[in-house]
Amino acid sequence: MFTIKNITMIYDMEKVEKVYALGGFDLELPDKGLVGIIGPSGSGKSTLMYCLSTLKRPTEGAILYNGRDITNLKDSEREHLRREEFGFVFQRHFLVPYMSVFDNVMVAATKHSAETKEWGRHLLTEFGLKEREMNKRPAKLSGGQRQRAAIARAMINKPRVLFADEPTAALDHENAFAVMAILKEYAKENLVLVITHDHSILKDADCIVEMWDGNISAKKGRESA
Amino acid sequence: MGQKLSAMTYIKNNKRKVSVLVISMAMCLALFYLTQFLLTVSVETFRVFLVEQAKTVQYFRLPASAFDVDFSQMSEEEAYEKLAVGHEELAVRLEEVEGVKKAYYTDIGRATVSAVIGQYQVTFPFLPESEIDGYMEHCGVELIEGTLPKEENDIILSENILKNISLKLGDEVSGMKIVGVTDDNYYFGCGVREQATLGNQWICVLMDGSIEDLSAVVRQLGYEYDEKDAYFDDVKNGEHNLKMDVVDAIEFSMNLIYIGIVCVVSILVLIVYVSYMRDRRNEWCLYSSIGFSRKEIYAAIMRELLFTFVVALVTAVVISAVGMLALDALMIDAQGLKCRYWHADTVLECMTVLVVVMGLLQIPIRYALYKIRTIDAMDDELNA
Repeated sequence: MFTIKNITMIYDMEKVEKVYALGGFDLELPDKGLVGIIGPSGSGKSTLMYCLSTLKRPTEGAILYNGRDITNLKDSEREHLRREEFGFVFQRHFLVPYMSVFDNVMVAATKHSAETKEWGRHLLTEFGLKEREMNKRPAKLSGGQRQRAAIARAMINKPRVLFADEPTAALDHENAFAVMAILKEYAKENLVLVITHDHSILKDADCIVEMWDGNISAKKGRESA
Repeated sequence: MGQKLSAMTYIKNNKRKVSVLVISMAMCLALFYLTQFLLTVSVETFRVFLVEQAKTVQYFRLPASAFDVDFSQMSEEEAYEKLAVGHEELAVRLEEVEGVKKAYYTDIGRATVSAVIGQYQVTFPFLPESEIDGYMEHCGVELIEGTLPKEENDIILSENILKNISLKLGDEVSGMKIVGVTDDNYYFGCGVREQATLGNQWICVLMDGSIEDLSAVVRQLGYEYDEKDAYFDDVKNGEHNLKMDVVDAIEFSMNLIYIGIVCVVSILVLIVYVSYMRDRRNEWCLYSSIGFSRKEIYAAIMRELLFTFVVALVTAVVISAVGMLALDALMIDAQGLKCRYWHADTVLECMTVLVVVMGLLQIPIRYALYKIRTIDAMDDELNA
């Protein structure tokens, strides 16, 4: 699905001492499956996710998505991709505080049909939220419930790629594994990219990409993961 | 692109915040409209007798020179005699003019009507008793209380005038006794005097409404006089006086109030709205990150604002309507004054206020849109 060729991302371009967030590497990602990108803080894993999801443009290199280079797309095309093809679970849940959980899920929907609403309710129910909790505001929910609501929002359009940046960072172990189980299930038909520095949550990953200092230090398939 | 961002989600979930905006704007607009309404009570009241009544009843007096009377060349008695004959002759000649139904050589009385701003005098004639019925019929008024005037210095006045000057049936004022009350369509008055008082000679002309410039008619009849020595209570002068003494005076106050309202509403809405926008930065950043364009976010903000403004306008209409009804019942009608509820120009000015405020709001909105970052950029800011 993604073919990355010699991707480089340099911050502080105007400074003499440039900061290489991504140091120029190639990578191939499958059409579906749970892919973990792991590494310590500052290793470039979030930058890689932002480049893949068109939120950032790499300084050099190409990212092919289904054979099409997405690095030089127009803003409107990038927005279209993010709305129609990608889903996002951010490190902070970014739920809108004044909306109900259900409205927070529906806000990302590309269609507000009865079918989409039903799908939104189905997702929230699947993720363990009760009907009355769907009508509550995010502040009334636990951290785990909020993160599950954020995942439901990311999945409302049935995206082909789901990007999850540290989705379990604010969760206890029980909730973390519950969230990963949801993502694993979704990864059966789609590509799910999970950024983390926690090895334990990637035990079921189909592929793990290890990053270090802006480069890939290792890529392991399911057997070796 | 798919589904639009709904404006109603914010409005539904932030009723208190939206209400603050709606009520503050509505109160300012209603205050502006009600002020205009009150100030124009003077215009509406004075227009009735300066212009509307003058279409059917006009008064004028000419200088003695128009009748070839020179007080220095003859005795006073002789001069007044000649003036009376001249006036009577003029009244007869006027009755031959097309549009004139009747002309009286008469004496006049005046009643002072006070409105919200300023006061004006209503002129009414003293006629022979036999002419009273015809005069009332011409003016289209009916006696609702008391009797028709019969004796010298008996007068009847309309309900409006009596309310305004706080007099009632049976009261005496300046040697005249109020013996009857007429309905309140006009600022009507009429008294009985068989002869005009010397030195207070006027011509009262009843007409069909087709003559606006009575002065021109009198000149056509061959009377020469200096404009500044003559006095005409006709439509032309009525409109002129109304404009100069009332409309122009009010217009200045209204302009000041208008500027004040624009400033207050603008500052109020800007402060309130900017404080609301601060709370929504993360929300807009999220929208941008998940694929909504700035244009779509802007459109959603504008839809929210438009809805808020429309609700504010409707609320202002309701508040204004209730306010006008209350003012009319408690103050305007109680003082025998006239008012007009619909002021198209004020509505237009209110709409302009909203457009100005909407225009001013574009500055913080555009700035907020410019400051929208996708979540990766927010992370960068946090890490920096």
